[in-house]
Amino acid sequence: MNCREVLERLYEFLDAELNDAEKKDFAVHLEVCSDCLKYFKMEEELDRILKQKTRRCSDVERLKQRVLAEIDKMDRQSGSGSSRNVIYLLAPIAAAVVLTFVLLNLFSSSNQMSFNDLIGSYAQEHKKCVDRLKDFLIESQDPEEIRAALAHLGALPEQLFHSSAEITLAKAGEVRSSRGVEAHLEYLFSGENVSLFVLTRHSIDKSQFDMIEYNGKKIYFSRCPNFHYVLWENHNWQCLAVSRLDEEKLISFATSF
Amino acid sequence: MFRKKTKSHKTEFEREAMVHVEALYRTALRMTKNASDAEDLVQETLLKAYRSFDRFETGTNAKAWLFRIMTNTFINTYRAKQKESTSVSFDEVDDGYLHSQITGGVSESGDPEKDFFNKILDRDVVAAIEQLPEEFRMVVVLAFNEGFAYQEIADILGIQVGTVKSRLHRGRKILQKLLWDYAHQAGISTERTEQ
Repeated sequence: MNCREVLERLYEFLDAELNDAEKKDFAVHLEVCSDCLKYFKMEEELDRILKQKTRRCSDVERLKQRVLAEIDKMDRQSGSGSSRNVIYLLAPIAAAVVLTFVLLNLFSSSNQMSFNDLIGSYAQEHKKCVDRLKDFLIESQDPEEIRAALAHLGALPEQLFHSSAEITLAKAGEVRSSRGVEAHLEYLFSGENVSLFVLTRHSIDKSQFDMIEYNGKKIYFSRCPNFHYVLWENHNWQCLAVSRLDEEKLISFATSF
Repeated sequence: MFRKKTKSHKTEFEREAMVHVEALYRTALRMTKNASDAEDLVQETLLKAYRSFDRFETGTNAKAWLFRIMTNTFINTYRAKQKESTSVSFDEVDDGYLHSQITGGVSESGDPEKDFFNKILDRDVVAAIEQLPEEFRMVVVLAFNEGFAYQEIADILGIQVGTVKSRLHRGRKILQKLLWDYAHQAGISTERTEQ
């Protein structure tokens, strides 16, 4: 290493980020260059002082007790009464059914006005559902399905959600519209910003969506005042995501599968 | 259909996550800049973590996982409340700033470097870190407070390792200038001969 490199990588050395060969190079230069050595000594000492001063302990016993008490409270609430849970479970399914129904009818008719109206009312319902869902973890009984779903969750870009902790997962089930068309909602992921519906054994008419080619993938896109929609295929699944995110983020969501 | 939170579930959570409360709080303090927000932030983080603890794989990095939840929570919830208080212009801080100040000064004991280091107070360090613009403050706090590796910091904040490296470099230089200024304002570091 020369002087410039040593000064550039000095903090990496102090933070133990250099590998053995680099560390050796670094040390060799300090042995032969007194200017760099002097500079290094100053930085090293200051770094030691700063790290030592910021790593002071603080008493968090009270805070720990407070959090544990909150956890107990939460456990008691989630354990109380299955009838209440059913309501929470039904709400998102109901919304999903409404949406599916809306879509099924919608794409077979050519009434563009009612599309936006219906989507608007869905938007409100969507928010309520996500709010309720946040407090509950709902899961499928089938370990295969859970694994498959979690594998997808892991691949989602973090910044789409407040945190991965807030993504809730549900298995919704069979849906039948009044027109007798069967749809199968495999999963419902709800984050703060995105709801994802996976529909199989059913194909949505894409004529009202804009088509975008993205990295060789065909993505269908539509928008209304509050929400954006993307529709895409993943293996044999048809996926529909509804979100308040901007277009670019929603498309990156879709392509992350 | 609903997973029941069992007694053992909570015990495991205490073992995996609650041991990091102190670390979380220490970092939360520097993020939010006040004790009451920091406590709320830590509590919110742990409750979120507990709710999704089923999906946490035992044996993986619980600390980094918790810090990621906390960082995201902070960015989304608390940051809106923050005021950027700094009016210091950091653009002109060059890499050799501190070094040239120290070597160019005269001091009481004849060792300006030692004088300066001895005068760095705990509260100066806190104030300087809190004065850092947020993008630098986050990486500095994660590296200094907890000694996270660059890759861990990158994962926690969702940024590139190269970005961690450059922000940490720049953040340190700004810190040095701030600490020097504090010491200088207190009239302790250098006494230059009259102009």
